[in-house]
Amino acid sequence: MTAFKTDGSLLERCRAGDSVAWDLLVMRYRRLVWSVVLKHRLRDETREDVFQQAFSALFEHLDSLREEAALASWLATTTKRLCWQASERERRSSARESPLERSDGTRMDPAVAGRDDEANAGLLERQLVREGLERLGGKCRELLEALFGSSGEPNYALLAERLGIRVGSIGPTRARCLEKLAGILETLGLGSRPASGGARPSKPGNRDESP
Amino acid sequence: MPHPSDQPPARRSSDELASFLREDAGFEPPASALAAAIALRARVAERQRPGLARFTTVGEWMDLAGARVVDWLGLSPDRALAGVRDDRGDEIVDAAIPGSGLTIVAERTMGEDARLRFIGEFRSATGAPVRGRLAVLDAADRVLAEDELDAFGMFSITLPDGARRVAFSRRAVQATDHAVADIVVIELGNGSRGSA
Repeated sequence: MTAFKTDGSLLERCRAGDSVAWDLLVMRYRRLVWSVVLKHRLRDETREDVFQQAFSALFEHLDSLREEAALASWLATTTKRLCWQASERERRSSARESPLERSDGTRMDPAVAGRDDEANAGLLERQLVREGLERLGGKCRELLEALFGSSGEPNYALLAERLGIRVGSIGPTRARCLEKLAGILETLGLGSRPASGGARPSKPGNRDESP
Repeated sequence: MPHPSDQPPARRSSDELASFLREDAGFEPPASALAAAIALRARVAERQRPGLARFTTVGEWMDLAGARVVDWLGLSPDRALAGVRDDRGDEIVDAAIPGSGLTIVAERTMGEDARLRFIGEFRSATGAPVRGRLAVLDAADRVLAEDELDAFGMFSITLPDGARRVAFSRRAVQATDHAVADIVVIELGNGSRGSA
């Protein structure tokens, strides 16, 4: 397991032509971008187009993106704009009812208009939890995702074998991992709440540090 | 049923984390959309300046695949790649990979272009095509070259100067988070003939 790579270092490496750094950025932000896309009423094929356009925009702006701490917000905002534009194109092509006109001249889906800011904060908070899990890394991340990330009851024997620990160690290890994750989330400004909504957390000043 | 805030902190965080992870799986984009975004890596690679050092390490490569090492071929004398030669003098490896149901048959050989290559195939026990990704690593486990297995599970990858081992992952980067991929690392040995 390697140390957590900051957005800044990954962006720098992408600028230098490191394609693996690009993979890491896409994997880190794929769910954030897709979650923004899902909040808009778009056709399935349009959603996939917008998803790709968002990362195309990231590629096109590699040289101008200097505020690494704002990357998640930039991606969310860019994706949202792309969704509005796509929604407008769909509206025109299908001659549906007119969506709300926005003050900046763009249009957006009525279902999104009223709760836009709140939803945006929730999306960014969720992305911070993902970052916390990524920073946690290693066996801890694998254990927690295996225990909590599936709908069914986890197979403890298989899990113990996969992680190279005893079945009896899973409980104590889980507790330690949760404690470690809580500490990481705290440094990211989330306290102990791996929640999906609520107010946007404050950004810590030292996000570059590995745990 | 008690209100969540009435529960002990550890229990509450477990429940919230479980809820988060289950919900978050629903935000996984379709594989086709993810593949299209990742394909932009080719345009990123075009930006590479001559002489610029590669940063990638095998650790990152494995992280991308969510992988773990299941076997390390070549360390055992009876399976060592270096030193085992066929009748043409090529170095060969032919080994079952424990726990994976895979067999690798490969050889290191000099191509007509005088470049050293590692060619071969991965076979599954069921006969189904094996999909995955290869990386050639140097002594510091930096990735020197990458390639995908073809539709038949075969590969042919150039071994640049300094190549010391080859890592194989059964999964490409666009797989979902929760699955765990197998990694096989094949030692090429120190006596590697340098590629031109």
